Amino acid sequence: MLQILDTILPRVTKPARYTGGEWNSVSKDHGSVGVKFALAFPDTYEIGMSNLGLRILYHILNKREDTVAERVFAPWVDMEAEMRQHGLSLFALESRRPVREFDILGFSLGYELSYTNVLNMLDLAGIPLRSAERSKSDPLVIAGGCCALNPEPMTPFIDAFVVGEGEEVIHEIVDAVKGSDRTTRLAALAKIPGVYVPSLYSVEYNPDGAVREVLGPKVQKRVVADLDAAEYPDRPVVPFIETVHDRATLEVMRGCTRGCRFCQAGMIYRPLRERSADALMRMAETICASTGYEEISLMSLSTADYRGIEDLVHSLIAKYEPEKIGISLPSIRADAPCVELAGEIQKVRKSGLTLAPEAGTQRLRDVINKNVTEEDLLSAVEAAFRLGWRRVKLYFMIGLPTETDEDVAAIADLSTKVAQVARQMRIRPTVGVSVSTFVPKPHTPFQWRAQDSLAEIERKQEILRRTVRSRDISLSWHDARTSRLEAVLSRGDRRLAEGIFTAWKSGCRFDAWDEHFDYNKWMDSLAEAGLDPAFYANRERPYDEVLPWDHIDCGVDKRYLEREDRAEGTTPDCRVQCAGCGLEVRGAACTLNTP
Amino acid sequence: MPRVLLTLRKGEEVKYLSHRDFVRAFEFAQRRARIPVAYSEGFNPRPRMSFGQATSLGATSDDERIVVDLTRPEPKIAEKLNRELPPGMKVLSSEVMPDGAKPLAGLTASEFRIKFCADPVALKQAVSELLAAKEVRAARIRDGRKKEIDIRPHILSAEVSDSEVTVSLSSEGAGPRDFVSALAEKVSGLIVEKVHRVRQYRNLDNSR
Repeated sequence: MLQILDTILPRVTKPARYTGGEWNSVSKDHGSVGVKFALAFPDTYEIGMSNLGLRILYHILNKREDTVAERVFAPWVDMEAEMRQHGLSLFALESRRPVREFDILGFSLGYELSYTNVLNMLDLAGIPLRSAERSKSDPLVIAGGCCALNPEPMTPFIDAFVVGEGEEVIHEIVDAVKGSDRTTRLAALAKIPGVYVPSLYSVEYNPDGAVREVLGPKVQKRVVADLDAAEYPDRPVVPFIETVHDRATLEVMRGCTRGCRFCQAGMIYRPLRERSADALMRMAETICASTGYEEISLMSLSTADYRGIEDLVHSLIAKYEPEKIGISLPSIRADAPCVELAGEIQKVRKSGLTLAPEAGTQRLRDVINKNVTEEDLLSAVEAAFRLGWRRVKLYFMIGLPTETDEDVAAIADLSTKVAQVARQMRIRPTVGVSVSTFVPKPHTPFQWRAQDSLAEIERKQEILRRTVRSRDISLSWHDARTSRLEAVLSRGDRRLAEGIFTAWKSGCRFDAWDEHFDYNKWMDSLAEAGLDPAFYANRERPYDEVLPWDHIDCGVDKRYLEREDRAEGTTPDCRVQCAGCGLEVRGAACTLNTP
Repeated sequence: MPRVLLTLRKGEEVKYLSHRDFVRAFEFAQRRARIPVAYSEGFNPRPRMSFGQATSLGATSDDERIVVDLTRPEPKIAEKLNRELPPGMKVLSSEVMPDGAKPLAGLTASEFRIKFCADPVALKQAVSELLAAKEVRAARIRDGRKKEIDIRPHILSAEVSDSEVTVSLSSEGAGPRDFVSALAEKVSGLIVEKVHRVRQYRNLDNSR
C-alpha cells in the first residue's frame, strides 16, 4: 500500500489531500475499538475539511473510547485514475485502511451535485452501489446533511439517512450498530428517532406520475435543544493545505428568523438557538490555542442577528487583537450598522464586501420576503465606501416566482445606483454583480413552484446583459444548467435514482465543478432512464399533491409553507412576531416567543 | 532583536507537503507554541521569518532551514516547537545568530541520498558514465513543454554504494529529479524508492 502510494502520489495534484497526519487528527488502534466509522465527504479534501458538521462528528466519535472515526474525501480525477490503474481501493486518511473494512460509512450530503461522487466513492471502495446488493461484510452506508431532507433520489444507494442535527443521534447510531449484524442493524436503526431506513418504505404513484403515497411512518428531524450543552470540536484538525474556510469557526447560532421564502437553510435549521457569549469566548480560547489559527470566523446563517453581536465582537477584538488574531463576519446584512461593525472588525479591506439584495425591485423582494429596502442597501454601500472598501459584491437571483422583465432590468438599475453612490463620493468602485438562477427547494414556501425553463433564464440573462451599462459593474452568472440539474435532483423522487446511476455510469462526477459538469451527458442519462427533467424542475405542483419528501418532517408545518407561498405581503422576522411556522408548538423548540 | 536559525527535519509523514504547506505547518506550530516571533510593521503585519531552498515534493530532508526574528530571547525554542509540530516535522537544532547575520545566503549546494530499486552494478556503471561525460542532458517538463538542459556542471560529486547514490548538486542548476531523469536514460527500469536531502552547504568553501 505504502509503495503504491509512493508511486502514485508524486504524480497527482496536491498529494497532501491524501496523506492525513494533520495536527489534531486522531489515530487509533483498530483492534481496540468496537465500531469503526468512516466519515465521507463527496467532494475534494479542501471543501470537505471546511464542513463544520464533519468536524463535529469526527470530534464526538473519536471522543468515544469504543469508536474510531477516520476521514475520506472524493479523490480528484487524476488520483481516481491512478487508483483504478493500480487497483487501489478507497482508503481512509488516518490508517490508510480500505473504507470497505469499516463498520459504518457515513456520507455528508450538502449539495445535490455531489451525488455522482457518492456513487463513485462507493465504487472505488468496492462496496456494492445498491443497498439491496450489499452483504453482511459490507459497511453500513448512511448519509446525513441538508440533502437528507429530501433523501428520495438517493434511497437505493444509502442504507439509512439521518435527518437533522447529528450531535446526539450519532451516539444512538453507534450504540445500535455495535455488535449486531446487518439485518438487525437496520431494524435497530429504524427505531431511532430521526433515522430513515428507506428500504422499509414503499412509494406508490398516480397515473400522472406524481407520488400517491409513501407508506411508512413519518421521520422527525433531530434538533439539539441547547447549543451550549452540545459537544463541540475544541481540537479541530488543522489541514496542511489551504482549505476553503481556513480559519477557526465559532458557530454562534443555528437557525434564522428572517423567513426568506426561497431559503431552505432558513427553514430546515429552525428553531433559532444561540450560544451564550461566555460559551463562545471559551470556545474561541480553546480552539485558537489548539490550532494556531490567525482568524476567528463567527459563523451562522445571519451572524449580525445574534443578540449581543456588538458586545461579542468587542470582547473578541479586545482579547485577540494583541495576539494578531483577526475576527471575521461571513454574512453581512445589507444595512449601515452591520457594515460599520464589519468595518470595525476588518482592519484590512483585502476582500470585497458582499451583500445580498437577491432581487432588483421592492415588489419582488417583498414576494420572497427579503426584507431589505433600497434605502438600506444604498446606506450600507455608502458606509462601505466611506470605510475604505472599493469592491462590493451584490448577489441576485433570476427566475424568482412572479418575476417580470422589469424586475430583471431593475437588477441593473439597483447596481448602477450602488456604483453612483461611490462616484458621488469621488471613489471609483468595482461592483461585482453575481446572478444565480433560482432553484425551488423542498421544505420552503416555494417548494411547489416551477423553475424557469433554460430558454427563459437565458432570455433574462440577455436582458441583464443589455441593461448593465456602467463600466463600474462586472456581471457574472452561475451556469443556469447547473441550477436546472440542481432543481431536478433536489425535488426528485425515488425513480430519479436510475438517472443518477446512469449519469455516473456514463462518466459524470464532480458535477459541482464547471470543468467537469457535462449537462448533455446528464440529460441523455435521464432520458435513458426514462425520466423527464421538466417533470421535476419546471412543473408547478398543486398544493394538494403528495410531495416526495412529505414523510420527512423538518418541524416546519406544511400549512405555514403554503400560507407563506400564498401571502400577498411580507411576514415579519420571528423575533418581531411569531409567524406560526409550527415549531412554536413543538417540544424541542422555539424559545423566541416564550414570555 | 534576536535572530535564530532553525534546522528542521521533513520526515516521511510530511514528505508530500509542498514547500508552501511545510512553511504553513511551521507557522501554525509557532503560534500554538507561542514563540515570541517579531512581526513586520504596516497594515497587515506578517511574522518575520525566512525560509531556505525548498526540497522537492516527495523528498525527505534533514536540513530544512528557517530563520526567525524574535522579540525577546527564547532559549527553549526547539523544545517548545517540537511539542507543537506535526509528526514528521522536528527541529533538529537551533542557533542564535549574531546581529545582522544572513545565514541563508550562499547556501548554494545540497547533498542528497537517493535510494533506487536497481541492479547495483548497472547503477555504478551509469553514475561513473555521468561523471565522465562532458555533458549530461536531463529532460524537464515545464508548462506542458519538454525542455532539455545540461546538468553536468551542477553535479558536484556522486558516489554509489549498493543501490544508493549520494549526490551533491548545486541548488540553482539541478535538483534530484533532474539527476534521476538523466540516470534513467542509462539504466532501464530504474525505480526511485527514496530521495533524502542530507544537508545544504556553501559550495565555495565546501563547509557550512
